[in-house]
Amino acid sequence: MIIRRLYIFFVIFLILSFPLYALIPETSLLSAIPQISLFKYITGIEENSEYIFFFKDNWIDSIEIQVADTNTFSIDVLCKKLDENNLNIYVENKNVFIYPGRKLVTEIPDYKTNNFHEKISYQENNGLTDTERNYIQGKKIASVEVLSVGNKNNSKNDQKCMVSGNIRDEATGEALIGATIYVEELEIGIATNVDGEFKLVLKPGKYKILVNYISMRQKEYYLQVYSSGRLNIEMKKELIEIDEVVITSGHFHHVKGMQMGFEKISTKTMKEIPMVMGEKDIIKVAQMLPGVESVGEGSSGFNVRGSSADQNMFYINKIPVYNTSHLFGFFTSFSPDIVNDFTLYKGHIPVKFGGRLASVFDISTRQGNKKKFFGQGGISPVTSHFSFEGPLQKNKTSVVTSLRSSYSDWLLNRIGSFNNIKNSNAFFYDATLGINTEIGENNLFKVFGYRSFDRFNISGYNKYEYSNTGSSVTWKHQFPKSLTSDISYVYSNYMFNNIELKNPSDAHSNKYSIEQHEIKGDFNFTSLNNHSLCFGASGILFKLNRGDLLPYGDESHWIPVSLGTENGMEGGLYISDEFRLLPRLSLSAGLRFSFFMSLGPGKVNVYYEGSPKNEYSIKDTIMFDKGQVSRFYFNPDMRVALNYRLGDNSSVKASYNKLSQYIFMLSNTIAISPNDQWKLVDYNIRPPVSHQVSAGIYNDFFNNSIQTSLEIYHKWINNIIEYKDGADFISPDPVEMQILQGIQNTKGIEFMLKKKSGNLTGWLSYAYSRSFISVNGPAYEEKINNGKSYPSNYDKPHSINLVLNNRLSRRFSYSCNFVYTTGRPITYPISKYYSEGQEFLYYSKRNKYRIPDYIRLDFSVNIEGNLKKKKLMHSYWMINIYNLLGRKNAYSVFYEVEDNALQGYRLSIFARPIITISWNFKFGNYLSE
Amino acid sequence: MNENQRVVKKITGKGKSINTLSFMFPVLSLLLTCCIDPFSPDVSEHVNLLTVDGSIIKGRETQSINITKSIAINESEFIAVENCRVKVVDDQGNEFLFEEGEKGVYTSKIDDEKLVINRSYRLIIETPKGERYESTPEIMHESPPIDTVYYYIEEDYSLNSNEEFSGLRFYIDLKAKEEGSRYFRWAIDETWQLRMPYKAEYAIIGDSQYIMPPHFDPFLNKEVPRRLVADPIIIKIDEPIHTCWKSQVFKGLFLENILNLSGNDKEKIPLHFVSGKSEKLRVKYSINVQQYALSEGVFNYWQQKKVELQESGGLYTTQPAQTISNIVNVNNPDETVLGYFWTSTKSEKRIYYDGPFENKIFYDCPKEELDTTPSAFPWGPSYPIYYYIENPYFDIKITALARCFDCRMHGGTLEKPEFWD
Repeated sequence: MIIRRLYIFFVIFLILSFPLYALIPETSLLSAIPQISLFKYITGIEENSEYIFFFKDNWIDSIEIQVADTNTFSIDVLCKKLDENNLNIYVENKNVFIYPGRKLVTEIPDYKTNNFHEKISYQENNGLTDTERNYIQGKKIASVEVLSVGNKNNSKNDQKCMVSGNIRDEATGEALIGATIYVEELEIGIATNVDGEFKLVLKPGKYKILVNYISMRQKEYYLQVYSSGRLNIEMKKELIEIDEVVITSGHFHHVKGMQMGFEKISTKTMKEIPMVMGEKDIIKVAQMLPGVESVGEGSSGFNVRGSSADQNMFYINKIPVYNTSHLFGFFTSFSPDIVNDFTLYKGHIPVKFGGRLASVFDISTRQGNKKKFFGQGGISPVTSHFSFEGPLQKNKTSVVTSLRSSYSDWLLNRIGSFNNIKNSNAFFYDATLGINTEIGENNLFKVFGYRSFDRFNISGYNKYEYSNTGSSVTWKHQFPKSLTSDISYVYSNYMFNNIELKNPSDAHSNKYSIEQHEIKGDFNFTSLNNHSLCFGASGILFKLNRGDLLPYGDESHWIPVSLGTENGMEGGLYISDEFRLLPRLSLSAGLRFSFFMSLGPGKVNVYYEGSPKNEYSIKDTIMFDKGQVSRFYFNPDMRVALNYRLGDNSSVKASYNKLSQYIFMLSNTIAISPNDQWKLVDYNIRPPVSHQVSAGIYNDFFNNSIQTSLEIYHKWINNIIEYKDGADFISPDPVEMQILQGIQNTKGIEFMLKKKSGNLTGWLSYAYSRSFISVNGPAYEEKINNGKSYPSNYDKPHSINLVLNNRLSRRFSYSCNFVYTTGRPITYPISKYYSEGQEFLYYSKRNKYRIPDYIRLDFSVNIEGNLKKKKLMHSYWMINIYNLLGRKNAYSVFYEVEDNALQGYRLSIFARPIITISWNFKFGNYLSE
Repeated sequence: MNENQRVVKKITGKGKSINTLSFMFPVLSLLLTCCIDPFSPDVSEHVNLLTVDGSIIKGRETQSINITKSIAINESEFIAVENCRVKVVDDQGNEFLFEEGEKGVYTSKIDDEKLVINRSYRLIIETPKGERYESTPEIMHESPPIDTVYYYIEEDYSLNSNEEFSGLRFYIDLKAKEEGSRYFRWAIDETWQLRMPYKAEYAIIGDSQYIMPPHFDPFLNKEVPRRLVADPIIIKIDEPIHTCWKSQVFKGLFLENILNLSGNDKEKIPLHFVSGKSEKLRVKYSINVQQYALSEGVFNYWQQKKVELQESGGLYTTQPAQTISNIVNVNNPDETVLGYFWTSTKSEKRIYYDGPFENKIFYDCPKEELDTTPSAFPWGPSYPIYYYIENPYFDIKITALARCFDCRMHGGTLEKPEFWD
């Protein structure tokens, strides 16, 4: 009855959320530089000028453009972008037409002059506004000149011609040494000699050439070769702005880039995916990607390529977040209002990252609007959230802040009234604050703070609270000569406080905290020949207090137990270079010297060599003073990636990555539980180290609107941490006596097909992956599963994800998800016996069986309000159905003794369709996501 | 809405350790679409492993060792292992031989004086197939006297209805000795008295039958054919049958250690809960708590087994532990043996609770007047029929359903237990 009542309650009104969206997130800070959609960019131009653009939405759907300043819309940038996507532009009387296919010829070409500007595109107008003049200036750069060499009449088709010439600085007339000319069609390049001279041997014909020189603006020409002749090229000095550098490093091209096992998802994409509570949740979205699995619905964290959840690093603006869940994992501790996009590295992890084995989940937040204030927010049954941004100093300093909070105690009181859990309550919030300021043209300062907090109290048995707190201060600087630096200080703290008060005589409390201070500097240098050099260093100081178990209350007889404190220092020193080895072959090679020092004060046990670590094998106990290094670990981590381009739209990539990790989670449960502690490696516990080799093939079809990739990988991890049976981490026994270290082996294939433009967008992914652990020490107590390898808890061989979004009209669209995964492994009882008046179970080999497969279909419909341009606000309805099939997906299978017989049960978490309806509205710029 | 109640059951869960919180369940029920339903996994394996269930307890009259084989989950008959030679040897070389009575049950009466605290005992079994199993030596720890056993009236939740109701939660205070074991176990024997609403004075236990020839029946106003007629057999009841006693061993392992405590006392260790709605608390209820002092080995063995039973299904479950018996096959040490041989002294304490817990009519027993003339029982109802005479002058006999008179129909025994006061 109750289920039904609440179900209806849920269906009808529970999740009516009202996010108040307002203005466009006009990102304009140097470097912040997110990509914005071309559509948005064009709209920006329309708003600021009299130009009117004509195009079909789906031609430009998937195109994103990077802009330094949204105030100066440059047609140059636009043309270039369109050209990259095989689109043309034609301008007539302030009407701009964008169209695919062949260029329209608007003038009769004149080949008689040697050098001339082919004025493509649009006509100039008199009486221009300032903004419009900007476009015209942009236009000039955009036009591609046609240079012709030789005499048309002497042209003989098969005869090779010598094109020679020199390249000079336009301003000084100085010859440029080592400038490069690259002939795109032939994929050959040549550099000028000491006199700035070059020679090219070409057959008559039309070529596209690119001329490059350090600190000069790249020039692009069409070269019409008739016969041998001379060609003089002048280049213009260019001040490379910081943001442009970032454009290069931030731009990830599916086929051309070096990235492997890499996904970047923007807020817009997230919005379109149906979600269980109708709320955007980045971690749940990440679980739709190939190679990312979770133990079950409602568990926190995820497993990347068969690795445990503590091998993922979560950064929000450089702040590491140790616990990403709210309310046991049903929500994620990042407010959707503040997230701009996230990047997940699971294969080739850039050398600037270290410290985790499986993945880096890098969340970047909104940067704040430097020109206008704007706010957005929402109300849902569980939380209300609000974010606000605007200038502190126009065009220089911006502030952005967000706050999300659950309604205090509402949640469990609600449950309590149905399920007789008295005195239970739960509450959480998360908040961010960011300030960005530009000082001069070359400096950018960013300050960012983050906090999340959870508290719950279950039936008076257990009081629990935890929080993440962090802040980062970043200074970005642009040096002359294409060097940028990014220096930051990061502070992060995670703590929890737990009070067990079920039995007054052993009621006790425990306070855990981990604190880290990090200083890091990242440097980027882009040189001639497209060498992209990164180097830097980082140092992290960890201060960990595993807490004291103290008696709680007057009646408690609990003996205080100190779990001790730990200190450690992790350092990294890295360098990497990315460059073109051969015309079609690019290489990214990096090395990270990673080290860890386990620091005193502390007492460590020394055990007899070769014997299992227990209280009987302690040989000696050593005391270390404050700051004294008890153990030093050093790992040179090599990361190499290769990209061989098979053609414009396809490439083959391969990579090798070694990573090391110096901190792990003490968790012997299948899902991460809220009071699992992080622990540093130490004198007796060796750091886990992983090696991953992967290879893949990448293809783009239909003007990049369809992207496919197929990756295979093999990863093996040494010193993986597993737990002895009945391990209890809150006992005074040292951790090394309770853990075992083994080997993990994972391998898999991931296939991804993505459609980025058109009315129908989305992706289909399939992953096959296996993950095995073996713990086989010499002594019996050092073996798990008798030393035989067993599937890890998150070994799910087959996984299919389908995400589809179909726009039927401008006001109506629907989307759906389909998820299939093999059931997770489980250890079943295979026999029972009777002892001491009780039935007991005898279990199979570890993880020998599997729970039933997981299948889920979600559906959502989005109905937009009217499309009038002038209105108070824009609104839309979203109807979300989670688990449309109502399949009872098993979270776990277990047995209970009932009437002297064992009965098997299946626990499903979302066992019926969950329907949520939300009404959303936004003010101001209706194009904002 | 059974699913939900099962969730509730989890929440009320017995005190879980800090590491394996059951937090999850309230949240699951919040989402409300969560459910638990019966499911039978397909398990193909089939193993029958030697199981030894036995102990040597000082203070127990008969020592017993059960030897069986484990069975598949869905089976119910344990396989007795017969004709074994079973003995227990102490560290002084004294041997105590066991004899098989019931199939697979080996017993021995050992004088208490022969069982000495702090001596170690070892179980040796030889099967007819020639396999020899030996346990590690187990030290007999002394269980300190039980300090106090008491109860509080507390609220709990029913498994069968979603209502909250009150009942008794029993607790024990432990006063351990400075030296001696830090690990304890309690077992509970429950006994309760039942009382029926009516006292039976007579019982109709059947009928004698005879054949009546065809005749005219004036009431029916017609000729009736030859028929069988019953005459009731009535007996007088001398022994009261309206009150009886029921006993059972409470299922559940109550384990506690005092490692983390300063001193040797631990108060308010929770034992079992008895619902106020249960028949146990209607008249008088008694428990006998037996306390044992354990070795670390057997404590850990049971503790892990208990965790498995309690935790299954939750979100923060651990992998089932590889519990290792202290009994090994000498010829084949790799053979998995189940169960744990243990030893301790026993201390016990009995307490009573005088009911009723709730002043309510427990039985649905409408009474009616009884006519004992033969024609009233043409074809014999279900016997026995109990009745009492309410008014001897008018011979008014009152009856009701048999279960309203006869306590034995509720599973009790009429024999008053020796200890009952």
